[in-house]
Amino acid sequence: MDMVVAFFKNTGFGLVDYRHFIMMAVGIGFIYLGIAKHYEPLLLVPIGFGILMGNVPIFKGLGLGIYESGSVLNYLYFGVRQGIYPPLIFLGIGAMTDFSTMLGRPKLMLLGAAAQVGIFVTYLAALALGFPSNEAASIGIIGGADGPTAIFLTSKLAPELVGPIAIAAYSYMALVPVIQPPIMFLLTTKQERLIRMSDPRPVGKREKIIFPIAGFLLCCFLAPAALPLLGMLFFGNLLKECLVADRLAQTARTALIDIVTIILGITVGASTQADVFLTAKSIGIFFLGAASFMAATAGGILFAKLMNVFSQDKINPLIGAAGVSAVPDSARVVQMIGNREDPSNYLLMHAMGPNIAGVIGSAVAAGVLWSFFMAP
Amino acid sequence: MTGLSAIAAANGWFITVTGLVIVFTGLALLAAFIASLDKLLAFWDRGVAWLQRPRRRGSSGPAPGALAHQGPAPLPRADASARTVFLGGETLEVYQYFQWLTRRQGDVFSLSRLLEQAEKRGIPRPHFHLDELLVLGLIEELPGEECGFYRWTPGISVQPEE
Repeated sequence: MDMVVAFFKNTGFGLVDYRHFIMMAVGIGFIYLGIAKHYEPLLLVPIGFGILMGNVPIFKGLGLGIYESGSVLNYLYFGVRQGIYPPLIFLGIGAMTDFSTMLGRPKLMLLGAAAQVGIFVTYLAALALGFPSNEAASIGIIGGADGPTAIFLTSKLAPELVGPIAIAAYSYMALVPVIQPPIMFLLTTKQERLIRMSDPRPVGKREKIIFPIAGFLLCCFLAPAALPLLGMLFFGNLLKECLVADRLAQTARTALIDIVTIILGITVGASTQADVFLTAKSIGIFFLGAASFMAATAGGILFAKLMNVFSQDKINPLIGAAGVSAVPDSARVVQMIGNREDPSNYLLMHAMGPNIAGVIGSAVAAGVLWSFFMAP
Repeated sequence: MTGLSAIAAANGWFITVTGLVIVFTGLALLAAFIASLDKLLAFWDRGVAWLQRPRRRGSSGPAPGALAHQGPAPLPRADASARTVFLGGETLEVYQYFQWLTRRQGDVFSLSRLLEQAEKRGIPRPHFHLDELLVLGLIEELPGEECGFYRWTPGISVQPEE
């Protein structure tokens, strides 16, 4: 009988407590949002299932948990801890991104820079709330609305926060259609939302080939710590645009990014073990992450309005919201809001410029923050 | 420590201002470079065309460096008597890509496969340009049993529009 009792105590039923149920509910919530609501399903479904995997109560010491040395999950988590997966994802993003909308109207890149204000405002807020500098920087990068960048920087600066920060970043990216519209309506007038933008100039193939090389050199000379992310992003784009390495580009934008996304999603989800994740700090991170997204959205919109003051060629300030990256969801939200005001006004193409610039901007910001904290 | 004193103690203001300046500078420089890239390329093309002009007489093909011009594509015109076709802008650029793509298929190629490859590689308006090349007679359909397959019409030279 004692053996039966001992066995029962070592099963999930014997080890479970309320925190596991909370995290399982979160995991099931993610899976629901991904499947039923189609909110970033490629991310939320693996992360949601990873949360379930990470929160099945297990007997410590068996080498099963993600934080136990030698476990399968621990080996897979190595790529997150060491910041290996995010650059691989950037390679795939580069190989599937068409930069021509951004190249056709380069001044819109400034909106991608303006939206990064959310990162730094949140960094200041986190410092003011008592977070240490490295953690504050990792929390701030949530405002970059770029999951791989957030994971990369956090793995370098505050590895113990990778779980909460990745979950916060991906949650808010999935909730872009909910978070951004109220801010967009609040900061723009109806007249501004009705502005029609002129078509960007056509972009030649040679420009598309030169851009990733020049962009990489310029950005990485300025922020060398962004090299792993931007190097892979621009390299992926060069593979796509050069036409002679189509097999490599095809692999990068399909099989490679899919494999890495699966492993990244599962391991990030599994890293949210209840005893590690459910802390006051995690709750603080979630609140600050939401603030970061809002500040980034507001920064982009307000800067677009500022540009209109000085420019003859007016831009619709809604597209400033797309500067937060979250490709392509925030651009879709811009299109949706613009369409609501004027069904014949198509802003998606224009919004993709700041949207892609936001990816570059957030990677540069991550590089800058990392440089500050790795300096002796 | 919390509040403004925590920000000051961690050099928060300095990091924030410096970070924002670097992000803005990086993207502004990149934007400035992109904005002038088409002008730089046009300048480059003019230089290459000027260097190659004397050597281009009598040659049957276009000078590679002088081919791609930026900006809106002027309508192509055909000079049937000399069997020379003048192409400009995007049409000329697409013509070169099509030549490169069909080289992989061999002398005889399928239009549907060509279009599929062009679309996959993001070549602009491939259907429109293919139609142009067909109308200009640069691409011809094979007769007889090979009907449905195409080849580059022999004896036609392509020159960049002045």
